Amino acid sequence: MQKTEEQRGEKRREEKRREEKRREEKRREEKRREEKRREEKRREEKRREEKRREEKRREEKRREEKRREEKRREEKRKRIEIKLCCLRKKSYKLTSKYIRSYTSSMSRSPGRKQENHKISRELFVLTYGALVAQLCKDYEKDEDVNACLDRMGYSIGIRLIDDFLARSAVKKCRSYSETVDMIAQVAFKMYLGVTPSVSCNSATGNEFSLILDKNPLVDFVEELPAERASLCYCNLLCGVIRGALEMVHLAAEVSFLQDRLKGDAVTEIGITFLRKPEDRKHRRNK
Amino acid sequence: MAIFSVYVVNKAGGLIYQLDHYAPRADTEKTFSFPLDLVLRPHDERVVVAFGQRDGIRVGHAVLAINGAEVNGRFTADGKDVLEFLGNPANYPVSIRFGRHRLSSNEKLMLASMFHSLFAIGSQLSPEVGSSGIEMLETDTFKLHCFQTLTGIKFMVLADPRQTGIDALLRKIYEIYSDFALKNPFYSLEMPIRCELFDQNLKLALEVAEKAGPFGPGS
Repeated sequence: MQKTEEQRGEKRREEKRREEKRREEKRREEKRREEKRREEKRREEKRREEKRREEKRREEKRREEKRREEKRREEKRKRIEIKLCCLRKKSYKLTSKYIRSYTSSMSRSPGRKQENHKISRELFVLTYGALVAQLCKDYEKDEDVNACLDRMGYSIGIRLIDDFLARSAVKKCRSYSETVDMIAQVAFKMYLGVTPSVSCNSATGNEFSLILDKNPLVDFVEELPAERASLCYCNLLCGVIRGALEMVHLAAEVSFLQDRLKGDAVTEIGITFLRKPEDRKHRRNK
Repeated sequence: MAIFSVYVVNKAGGLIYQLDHYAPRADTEKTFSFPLDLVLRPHDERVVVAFGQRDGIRVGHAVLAINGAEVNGRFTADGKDVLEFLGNPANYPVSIRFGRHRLSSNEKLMLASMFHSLFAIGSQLSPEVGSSGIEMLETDTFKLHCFQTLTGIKFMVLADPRQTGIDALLRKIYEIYSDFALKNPFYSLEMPIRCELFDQNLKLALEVAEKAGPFGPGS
């Protein structure tokens, strides 16, 4: 009887020990999970901190940018104010369009003084119109008028080229297409305020055309009179381009290929360089 | 800090404009007694010192005036030959002014054409393909800056070696040329420039460049 009592006692102790062990195990498990959760939490916190710092930095950057933009705009406004004040003091009647275009082209040449005041565009267009009208009265044939305009344009072009080079400070062009691009995008913009588009006509790279969708010289002209059907109204421009190119040692033929006044869709000026492109490499550098 | 002179040369090499803005006069006037210890000899149209540098009188200096009266080439103001006059002991003591002679306009024309040729030779001799001609010539007393436009006109400025801002000045002179010379309808291209406005504006530009001095914008 005692043995079985002892045995049961043993068993119960065993049981208790196992219970203890299991509880120990459980507690350890719990602890480990706790630890893990705390780790997780800490990592989460870190990530959130990082994100917040990133956000702050971005905010700072945006604010810096805004401040710089503001500064730039302020400076611009001040400059425009000063220029506008000077312009208002003058006694010319300048249209608002010209004040805007003048201030937008402020950065053209730092050496220019305030004497670079603009004259009315209408006056220029009217002067040109009067010139063509007088030539039409003086000469009967259209070809004579065209030739005369071309000669006048030539004598303008040989002088204008130096003015263009002095003001725009462009570098020497390395190819015909670069030259024509320069004429279209810089020269036309500087002198007439329009930018024609350039297209290359021939495979040899000698012939180009400038397509003008807006020509300020023909602002007030509707169409050519019937007896002047082959008059090239803007032939002066052709002469100017020809003269200018000749002074930089580029022989070219310039003529009107299409003319809106004669009924074509667009106004197209064709420039044909007379020397072959390979000859340019052998040209002595000036 | 000075800009000595400006030269404008056309496409053909001819001088079309010249301005002497500042000429450092290095004259020395001294009283001599017979016999003269300098050796003088005639050269071109002048009497120059051949031997015997002393007191600021250097070899190559010409006789500019005798006893205050300017000499006329090889003759004194009275018409006597200078060498004869100075060989006669009865004329001593005599005070003679020596100095570098001013270039006459013919000489300037010749020198400008010579520079035009050297400029072209410079661009040909260059080992690099597509280089420009002579842009700067430096000596210990002056610097010659040259700017050639794409149309072939050359602008040359002789300035003090320490003077800065000459590049900008050359561009400015180009602008002034394109404004006041080319836009003048009565000025023919490649001809000597005789335009008042060009002169005035050029002098203004030179003064501005000089005032900017050695601390001017760039060089």
